[in-house]
Amino acid sequence: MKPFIAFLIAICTLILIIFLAYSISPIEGLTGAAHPEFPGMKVSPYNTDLFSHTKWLGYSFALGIIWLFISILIIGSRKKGQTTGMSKWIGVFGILYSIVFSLMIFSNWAYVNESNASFFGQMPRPTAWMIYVVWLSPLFLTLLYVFKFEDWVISPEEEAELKEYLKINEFAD
Amino acid sequence: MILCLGIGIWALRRTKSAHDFFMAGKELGIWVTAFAVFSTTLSGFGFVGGPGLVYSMGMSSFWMAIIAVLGFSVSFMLLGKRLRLFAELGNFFSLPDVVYKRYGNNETRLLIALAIILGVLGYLATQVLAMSIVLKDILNAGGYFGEMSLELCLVISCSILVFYSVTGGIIASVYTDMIQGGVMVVAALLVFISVVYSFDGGLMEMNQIIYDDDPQAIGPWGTLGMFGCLSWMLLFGLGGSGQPHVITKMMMNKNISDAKHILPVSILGYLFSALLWIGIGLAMRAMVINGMHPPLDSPDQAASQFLQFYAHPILAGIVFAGLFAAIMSTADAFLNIGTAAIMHDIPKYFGSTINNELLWARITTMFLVVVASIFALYSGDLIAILGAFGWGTFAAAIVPVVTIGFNWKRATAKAANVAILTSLLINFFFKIFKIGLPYNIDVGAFSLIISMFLFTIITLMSKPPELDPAVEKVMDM
Repeated sequence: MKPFIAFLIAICTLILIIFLAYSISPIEGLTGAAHPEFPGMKVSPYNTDLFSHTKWLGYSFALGIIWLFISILIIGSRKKGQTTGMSKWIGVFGILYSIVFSLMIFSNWAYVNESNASFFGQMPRPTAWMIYVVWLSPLFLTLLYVFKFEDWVISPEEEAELKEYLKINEFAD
Repeated sequence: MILCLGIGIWALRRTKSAHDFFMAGKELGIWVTAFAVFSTTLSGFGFVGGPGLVYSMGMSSFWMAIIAVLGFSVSFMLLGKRLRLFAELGNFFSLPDVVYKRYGNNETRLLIALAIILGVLGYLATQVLAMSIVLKDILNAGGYFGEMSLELCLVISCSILVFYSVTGGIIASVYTDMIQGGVMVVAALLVFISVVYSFDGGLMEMNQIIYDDDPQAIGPWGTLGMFGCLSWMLLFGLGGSGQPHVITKMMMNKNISDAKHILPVSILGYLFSALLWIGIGLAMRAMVINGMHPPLDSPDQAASQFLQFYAHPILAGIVFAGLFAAIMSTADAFLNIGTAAIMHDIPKYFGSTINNELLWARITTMFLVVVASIFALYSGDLIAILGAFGWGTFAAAIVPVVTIGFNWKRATAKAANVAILTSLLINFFFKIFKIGLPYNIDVGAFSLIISMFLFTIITLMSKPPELDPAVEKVMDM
């Protein structure tokens, strides 16, 4: 039941944030404006991270979404309603992912106030966090799925047991 | 086009029953399924819409790709095993069939089928229109046939689509996906190299040009802003497990354990293909800002203009061929699930079955192509509304019912029905009345959050359902 409570809390948090966002008066240019020279292109004169109320609300929104992903992954990793070894590793991944996501956001908070930003890996620093770390870090889950499939997802014995069950109950095509 | 026709004829020999037509007989190998999963997810959008969005908004739209690694993992961890296990419980033709098996409720089957038909109509019409525009551009650029009209190109491309889909069914679609996926990966790598060599200073110079014009455009949230990007992260990450044309392929692989190989291959294919998306989009933005290229009339021209002026003609030809195949196979995948919903799921709701399902599947496929063509030519704004409506509706309607409901024995049919209805109502209401959410939060993401909330709350307030013993057995695994 615990993953569902976590899941429900994450959803309620997101709903609350959306309603809070409704209550904040919109700031012009915060969500993109037409480029003054090139049609079809947009620019962003302002950024959510420039304003204290929107930057913390946005940060909470990000953490709420990560929490939602992690709770859903834990729900999917259960067997017979119980969490498995994989659930613990998903939890560890959730903490690490929240940290790297936070570092990307903090890096962007600094970036929006810099007049001459520094680059890393040919990208502005927060974008480098996004491309090189946030994008690739979920590969950890993929490796977990590939290498622990028989232990935590489904074993050959379980597969054989199901086939036997289906045969006895005449479910097979 | 010749390749697509060839695959259609080859697939005809392998399509002996309606089950083959809709489910490829549960005989697909690892590579075919993996490429079908990633290339169906990307479709023609990765070639045209993706670069256009990067040109227009900077890094914002890249969140759709950034979240793909996590999104694919979510889809496989929640559904890779579960749907394949459910596929063992009967001779299912469609997702609504499996949903019926899970919930034992006919209304749930009908509502899922209706959500699929509505989503498919919009998606299919946009695919048909895109296919005709691409064909028109290719034929008119060659100049060998005079000026071809859009209507004529639509008739030609739909004739090929009908032949290919009617003969080969889902088998033709998945094998074209495999070829298209391979083309996409190779082409994306080569295009990315072309992008890097388009600037003397490589990627650094390209990014610096964009930064000097607007630092936010090359920042992580682009010009859309943080909330908009995060809502896309949710919608495209979690919503991927709610796309029926993608997840039905998880029931088609030969062995349950194939899922562990399919996941990494799908992710790698998507990662490489995304290079084309981000590379072309950023390159064209930098070139236009720097005066190296005239401003584009429409952001969607970003890919075609780059390929025409800055890529080797052979590479451009390969990418256009891949694009045509991508649109063709995605259209076939939509035709397949739409046909199943119309000629299989809705009659089942009314308690009737159709004799000679394979023949009727082929007739319904033809009918759907005709309807989608008329729709594409004459519906005006409605096509854009339904096209945009597609992903969000599928996500909001299917994620709670399938992604969560197939992993939660307590989930009830009543909760599923409310979640589907809510997703349809919110998406249509917001899109038709053009109601926006604050800070560019995507309506699809909002409806997904609300439908998951209602699904969970209603389930928790309801009495746990009694499950079919076989369903319980599969859900315990």
